[in-house]
Amino acid sequence: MNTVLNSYKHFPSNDISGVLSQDALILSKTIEDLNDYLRESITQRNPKDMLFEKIYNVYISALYKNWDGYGGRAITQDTYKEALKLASFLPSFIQNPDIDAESDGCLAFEWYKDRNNNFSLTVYGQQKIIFNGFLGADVLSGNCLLLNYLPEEIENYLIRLVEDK
Amino acid sequence: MESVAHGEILTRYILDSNNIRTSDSSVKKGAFKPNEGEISVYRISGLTDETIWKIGHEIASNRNKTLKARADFKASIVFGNNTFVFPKEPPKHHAIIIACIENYIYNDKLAIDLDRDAKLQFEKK
Repeated sequence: MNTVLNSYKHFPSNDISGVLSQDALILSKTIEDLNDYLRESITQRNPKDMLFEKIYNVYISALYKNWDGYGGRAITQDTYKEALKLASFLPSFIQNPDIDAESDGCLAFEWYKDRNNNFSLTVYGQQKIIFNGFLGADVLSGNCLLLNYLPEEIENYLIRLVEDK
Repeated sequence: MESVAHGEILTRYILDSNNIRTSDSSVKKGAFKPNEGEISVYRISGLTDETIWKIGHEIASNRNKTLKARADFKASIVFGNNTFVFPKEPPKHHAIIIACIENYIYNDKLAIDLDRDAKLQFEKK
């Protein structure tokens, strides 16, 4: 992030459109837009932005095969996009989950209170969500389609996880 | 090579600190996800603690990683999931759990069951 900001600092602030090629102008504009976005993100960080950033960082850390030392599969762009989509549906009453890349190329969201109160959602680029967890004596396990909203079943489990003492 | 018995203790060496929960020093399910349908484990029943850690350090070194911990679990958890674990040497004591290639749902459940049973061990310095 700082690298982008610093590199942008080296662009002259006066009008340079007369001396740059069209490609350079487009690049300059892109960097300018990115710079604005980053500034805005830094000053107005809400939990959802932080979650998106966390997902991005985990994605970047597992971009290449064997990222984990066990020959782990790289996280695909489809999986990354699904994780962002799922994150955007998460209700505000639940705190941000831990985000982990897994050896089989999945991205996992985990809420963990203790051994008997935890819940995880996993995406793997095939438009499905796998859920697993433990709520007291109940063992939760299943999967559902990743649509354009958070499935009610998952939302209900998250409510229970928050409410369970 | 003797087949793996239900009562045996197996271990998965943890090379990535992201697989360890900081809240209660337990292991995450990500530690038990397969690579190309196999989960690499070691048979440690009857081995001394020193030997078990030595094997772990060798594995980590071969992969240019640092050994963070190990997660010990019962072989019966594997068999209880209708899965198999087979000896696969060399290296000595090595075994593999057969997972399902591309069956993410099944593998996630197996990983959850293993991480729930596993006892995370840290090397005493």
